[in-house]
Amino acid sequence: MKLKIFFSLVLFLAVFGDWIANEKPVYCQYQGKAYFPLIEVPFVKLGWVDWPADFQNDNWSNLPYEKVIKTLIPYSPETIDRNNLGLKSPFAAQNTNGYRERHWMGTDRIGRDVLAGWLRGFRLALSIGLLSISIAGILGIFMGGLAGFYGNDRFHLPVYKGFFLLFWLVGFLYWIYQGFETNGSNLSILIWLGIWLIIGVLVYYMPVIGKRIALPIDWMISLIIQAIDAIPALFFLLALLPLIENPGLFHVIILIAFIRWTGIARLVRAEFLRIRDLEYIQAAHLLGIKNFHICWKHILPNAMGSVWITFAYSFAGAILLEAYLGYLGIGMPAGTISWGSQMQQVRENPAAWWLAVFPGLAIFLMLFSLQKMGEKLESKVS
Amino acid sequence: MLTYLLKRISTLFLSLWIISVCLFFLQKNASVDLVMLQNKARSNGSFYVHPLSAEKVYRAEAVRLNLDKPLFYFSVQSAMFPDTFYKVQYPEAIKIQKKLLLETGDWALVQTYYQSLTAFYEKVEQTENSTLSIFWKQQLQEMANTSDLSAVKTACQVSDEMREPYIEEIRKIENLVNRLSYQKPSFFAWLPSPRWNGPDNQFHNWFSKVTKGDVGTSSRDGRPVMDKLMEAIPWTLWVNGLAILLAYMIAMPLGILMAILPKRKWLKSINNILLALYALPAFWVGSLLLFQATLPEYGFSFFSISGWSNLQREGGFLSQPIPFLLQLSLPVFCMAYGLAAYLTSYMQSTFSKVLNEPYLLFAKTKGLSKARLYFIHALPNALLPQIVFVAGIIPALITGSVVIEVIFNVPGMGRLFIDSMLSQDWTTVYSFVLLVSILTAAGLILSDILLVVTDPRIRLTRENKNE
Repeated sequence: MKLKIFFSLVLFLAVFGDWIANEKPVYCQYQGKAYFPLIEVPFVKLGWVDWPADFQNDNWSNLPYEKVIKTLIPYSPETIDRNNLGLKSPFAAQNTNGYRERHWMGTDRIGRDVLAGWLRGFRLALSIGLLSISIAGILGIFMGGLAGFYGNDRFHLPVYKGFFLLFWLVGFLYWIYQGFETNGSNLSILIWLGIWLIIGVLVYYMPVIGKRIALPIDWMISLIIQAIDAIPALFFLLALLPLIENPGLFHVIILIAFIRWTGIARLVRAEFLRIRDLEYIQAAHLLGIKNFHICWKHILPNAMGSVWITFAYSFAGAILLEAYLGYLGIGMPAGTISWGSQMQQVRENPAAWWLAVFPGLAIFLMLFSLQKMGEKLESKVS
Repeated sequence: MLTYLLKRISTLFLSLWIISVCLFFLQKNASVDLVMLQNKARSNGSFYVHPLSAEKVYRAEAVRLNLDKPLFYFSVQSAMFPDTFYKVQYPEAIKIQKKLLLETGDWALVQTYYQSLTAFYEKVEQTENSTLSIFWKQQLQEMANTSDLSAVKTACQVSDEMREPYIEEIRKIENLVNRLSYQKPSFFAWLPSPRWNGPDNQFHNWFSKVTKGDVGTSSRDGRPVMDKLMEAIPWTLWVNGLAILLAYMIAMPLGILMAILPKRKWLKSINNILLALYALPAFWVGSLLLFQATLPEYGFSFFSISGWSNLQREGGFLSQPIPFLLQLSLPVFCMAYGLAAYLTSYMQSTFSKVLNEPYLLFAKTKGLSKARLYFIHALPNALLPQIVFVAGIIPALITGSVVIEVIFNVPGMGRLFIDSMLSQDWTTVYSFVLLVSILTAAGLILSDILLVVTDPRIRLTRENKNE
């Protein structure tokens, strides 16, 4: 129950954090007209609302408003408070007008409000965690399910089809590669790709001739999993990042997902291997139910119980990886404000404890509650 | 048993081979311009090369560095690509020629075009240094750096006075550009043409060197990467090894104690504390400790984070164990506490599970002493999962130790990795990844073997399943 409250709070902060900490006032009266700058931003972009030219400058705090209601924390994560440059401690005397504008968690070296950045950190951690884990989950369940359901002995195909599959796959990758090389603009490549797909479908539905062999799907997928697992996550992430010219948030998410899917896949594989031999699955086979339907409707729901547990742990792992990246200052797009990047500043300014304590506390609370959730799920399953 | 092990080890080698193939190609893709880098180092950083004269410089250097070979055992290219496209070395030239080739599909024409640009450049180079020749050099640089043929055309269209001295070359180029812009690759030119390159390729050469322990030289300081690694590994092993040791020394007795003591309410809160300790990010604790514990104001100045190399020079652990351990104490503590917390609760759960087994109940009813019960009968079975656990956490430990090493300045693998990463020394970076993955894979396989050797039940089921 307490966990539920905590996670709803985190979700709330992640979604509405930008409305809690923002330099734009909620309501203001300026030159005789009323504005709602906080919520009007998209309308201004669409051209529905006109703002005076003063609003286009990024200096919201010093405008001569006639009436103003500011947000709870009147700073955006990026706002530079020139009056409080250079690491103002939360307890030190701050050069602000009253307690409303006080920096409750201090400021960093260039005068940004730590609390606003800290709130932004929730959104970053949550989006990286959720997105990468859902991608990893989809990939992991697919690969693990494939390996577990067919094993080494249940995917039979004629020898000639096996060889053709290999040949076809090389060709398919080649066409995709050529498509990328020409930015998908070349018509003849698209036609060739179409021809290749049609050939694949035709051969797939060709009659079975000659001996059938079992394709060791489980072995192949386990090999991939083993290879990825052998590389420690952070090393792997840092080795893949230089391939991307301007790494953005999305790339980090994809890469974390690519590293994290193996854990989920291993579990799903083990569960599928166990469940596929249960009697009710054999009965389903005898009833002539399609393989996909059996996997989706009969095995997966049974396996999901323990998969959710790894989701919780992987979520924690993804948040930690993101924090590592921010802390090392590698891979995240420049200027991204996260817990890790806030803590990074402490390395240069050892005395600024507030830059270490608050972000670290947030990371700790996230990790702890995710572990707790994993534990709870575990006890539920067993 | 033996067949199982053999199978396991052969898949291990296969997966390591796959990793090295992937790392090789990653290294190729992320590679900074090796030739440029070395020339820059030679000429004190002020190295400029015109794109049209670069090819010659590159060709010579590439032969020296063994880069003028195909990449892999086989290649699948479009049929319009020549067999020897990999011989083009200058990165900019590769990009432009490839683009032109994909647009026109005529390799002979593209090559003639590029050669006539080079010939033009050489002629400009030979004439004395005038404003005209400088102008044409600039124009040529633009022309050589674009695959947009109309831009080349407009670059050629200048006043007649300027064209006059080189009119022959310019006419030739314009002619070629006209021909190129009407060319289109035919429908069948897109068919793939697989080629077998044989064992004399870059990957094979690199891999056979790697198997002999030579992973190349660092592109930053020219030192062999293996030397750098060998300097760094002991530190990482010390930190991780001591952390594991410490964690077990704390966790084993504590876990057993928690399992055998009568269940109370506080057990739950202790479990919560352990979970919290486990979730406490080590790099947070590390960075807090670093500044509070190493500054003299707080009276903890006997911890230090500098002077690692002195320590190493003076003989390390054997000659002066106390300063050595003191120096390592902070990073080891940061690595160990989370592990210890996890291991304690793990030990507790396995031990109490074992205690509930029927055979122990039987032993109890037989009247065995408690010490005998716990240490002779229960402990061996409870230790089994712990053995496997050690190897399983090695990857996570190494990941954690990267950040800890960076914080405490330990000259181990993690810090070297980050340093090489920041200085774009990809040879070192990818050799590191390869080495770490070999170590990790070896650890994983070792745990598997240990498990199979120690537990006959697993051996039998695995053999029956013929996994």
